Amino acid sequence: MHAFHRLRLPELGGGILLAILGGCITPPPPITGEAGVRAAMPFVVPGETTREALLLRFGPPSWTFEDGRILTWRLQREDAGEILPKVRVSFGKIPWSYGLVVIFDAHGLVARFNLMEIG
Amino acid sequence: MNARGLALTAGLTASSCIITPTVPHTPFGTEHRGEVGEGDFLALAMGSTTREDVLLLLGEPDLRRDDDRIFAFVWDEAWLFFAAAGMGGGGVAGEATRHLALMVSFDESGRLARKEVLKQPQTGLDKDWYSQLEKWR
Repeated sequence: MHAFHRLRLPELGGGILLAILGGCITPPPPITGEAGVRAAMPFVVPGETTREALLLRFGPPSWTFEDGRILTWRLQREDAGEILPKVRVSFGKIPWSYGLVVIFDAHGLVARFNLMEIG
Repeated sequence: MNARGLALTAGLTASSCIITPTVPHTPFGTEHRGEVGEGDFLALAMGSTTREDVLLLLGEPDLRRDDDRIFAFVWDEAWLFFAAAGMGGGGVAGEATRHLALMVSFDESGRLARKEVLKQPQTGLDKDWYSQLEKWR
């Protein structure tokens, strides 16, 4: 018997559902808690990561506070989970946006930071 | 048109158009952040929370004023849903939205001195809203 004829209703329904869902946009899993932030940003380590390293990775900050002690970046998360500087994207590809806030110590090393979903 | 015709016309018209209040929520595709929740608002303690703490909690502000003595964190809220079907099979749907803002001010030492949530009237004008943000003290 041909494979098509062996398809039962649940299998057929599942196939149709998959075809429909293929057109859906599924957000990446949310980043929650300190552990989630650390996992999403393994290259930001308090006491080790420098201001220069973050500027090289993310480019100019979106804003600077308190004479450069606090920098912020607008970032986006791709489907694969990678976090990149926010750029304009073509229609149909919606990035999930994040804000990175980094506090530096007197030596220019990361003292505290947080990453939050902003839309 | 007699009363029956009027009723029929009204019924047909109404059946192709929906306008309903909705549970307030963040509208899809907004340019602003998501809602600043009550938990975050309560976490901001007068006299002890610093500018640094506020930025780490809420991210970058949408408005900076008076040499960073005042920040505004703005978000949008949808409060009305509408949809209408056209005769040719097309239609439109959308949400009516308004702006909200968490306003915070800091004292000379950079600690929280005041906090307040401002809400745009549901039928308010944007220029009046932004003027309100500029005047807040």
